Amino acid sequence: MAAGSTALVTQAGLQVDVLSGSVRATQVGLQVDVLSSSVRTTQVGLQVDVLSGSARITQVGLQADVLSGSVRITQAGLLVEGRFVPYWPGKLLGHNTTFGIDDSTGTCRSFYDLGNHCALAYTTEAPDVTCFGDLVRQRLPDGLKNWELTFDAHFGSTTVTDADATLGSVVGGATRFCLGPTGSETGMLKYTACGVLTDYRLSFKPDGVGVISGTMIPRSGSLTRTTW
Amino acid sequence: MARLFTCGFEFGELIEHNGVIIDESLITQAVQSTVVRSGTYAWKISAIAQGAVYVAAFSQVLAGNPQEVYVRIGFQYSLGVSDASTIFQPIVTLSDAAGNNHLTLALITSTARLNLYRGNTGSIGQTSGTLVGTGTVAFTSDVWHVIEFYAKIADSGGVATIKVSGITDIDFSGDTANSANEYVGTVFFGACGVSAAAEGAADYYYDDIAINDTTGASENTWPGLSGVYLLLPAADGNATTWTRSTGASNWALVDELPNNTTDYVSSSVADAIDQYTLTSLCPAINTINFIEPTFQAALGAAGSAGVFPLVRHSGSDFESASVIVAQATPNYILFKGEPIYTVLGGAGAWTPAQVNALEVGMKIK
Repeated sequence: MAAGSTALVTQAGLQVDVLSGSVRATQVGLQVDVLSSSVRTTQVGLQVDVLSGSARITQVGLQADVLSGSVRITQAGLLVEGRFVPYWPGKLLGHNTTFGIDDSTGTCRSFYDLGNHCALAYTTEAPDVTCFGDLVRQRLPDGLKNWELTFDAHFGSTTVTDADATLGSVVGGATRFCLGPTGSETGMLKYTACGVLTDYRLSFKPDGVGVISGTMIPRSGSLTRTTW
Repeated sequence: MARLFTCGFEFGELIEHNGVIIDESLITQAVQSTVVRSGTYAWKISAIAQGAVYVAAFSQVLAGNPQEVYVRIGFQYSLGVSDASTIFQPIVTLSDAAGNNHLTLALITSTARLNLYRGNTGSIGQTSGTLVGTGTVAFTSDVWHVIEFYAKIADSGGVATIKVSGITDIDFSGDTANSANEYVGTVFFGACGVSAAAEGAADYYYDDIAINDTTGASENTWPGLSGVYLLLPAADGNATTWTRSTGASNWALVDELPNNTTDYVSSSVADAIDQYTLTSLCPAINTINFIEPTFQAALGAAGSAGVFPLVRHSGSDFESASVIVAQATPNYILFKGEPIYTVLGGAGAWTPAQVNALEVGMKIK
């Protein structure tokens, strides 16, 4: 019987066949009186002790799951253990930074393996509206916003999908950049915007590697801070 | 097991433990909402006795008799008229199952520092045994401190380490056992009254109690500085198949704090479910250790019944192991589901937004 259950077993019987002094239980029956509601009988069993081919019945049991009357709930809730953990300002190395620009077909070309510098400036105008009598300069809020992305990279190989091929094909045209300060894993921070590559420069000298640099400014829409 | 016991007194009553309550005369104890560390309630002992030592305490019996435990207590004291008096005030005692006190952590009010003893006697260890460690962190009255207590009970190779608000205060290695039973069977929390009139009165506050063992993947080490909060029903949830005792809303019958038994939902139908949305977490909480569904229940008539605590997350119901309700009204009992450390059906810790979107409920087995 399940602990605390209250089904009443009012009759348990054995039909036996006496054989040479031993007892063979051939039938076990239970009559169950339920206090109320439903009873789920989940197991009826015999505990037997086998002796020389005969069986001695030492226990008859009923394992039951009883619903006895209604369960009343007067309070429900959810305990939660938690705390406020301050997010300390972290120092972040830039070696995982990733950066890419859409080529003329709209496919983002990453400069991750060529780039070595990237700077994004996000600025706004605040027209001066200072008047006579003002002792401190007054400025209007919500002026025009602007951003500018500058980058430097090594000049890569001359395949059609390298950095030069991408940048050379989008100078002056509308494109899009994606900047991941900490990389491009799912959930990481990503800055992106539609812009125009207005400045693309290549530089070579005998004693150094070839480098490229560029500047992109807004075409339309806002600078978006999202995730990869 | 991992988390063995959590008690933030958030039900407004001293009902979360499974051991005894010691509530002797000339010292008072109550769950109150005036001085709390987190949530709505904390436990207060007023040691106002003069002329004898009396005890107010409760105990938690630990399943499995772990040899190693981590105990956390949010603790504050407020001294009375004789601040300079030396008052030996036990805070927590680790005992075996036979009533032998292994270790007792006590506050010495004259120095405002903790002492650790082995083999104290008395129900809360109010009679000193062997001093094995003296703390250096100064306590301040009327300020909450978080005491964390790691103990490995052993005659040889025992360890007892105390942290106060995350700073190690006592670090003892050696004999930590006061009997051959090298385990913690029962943990006593409480305080005793003072024994002389000159010692005056003092109040002691306890909140956010936790006990971890070293098993499982979560809550198997220092509990940390977290607090305990109770979210109550705020509206009917996905299923409302239980019968209301009155009114038109199920949730409004199970949202009282402290619990009242004048209204309720009831059911005797197998698989019947009642669910509720919840009030939101305090916005400052951004890190969640675990959640635990709760309910207070009794039977309408003598007998027993199985009930599954339910949590509904992201459109799916998740059952905890069923509990047996075997007390008839008016003896309502608090039941807690198993701690749920990670997001159901997913992975990682719960976020406040996920918790705020949960529903809790019950299902008849």
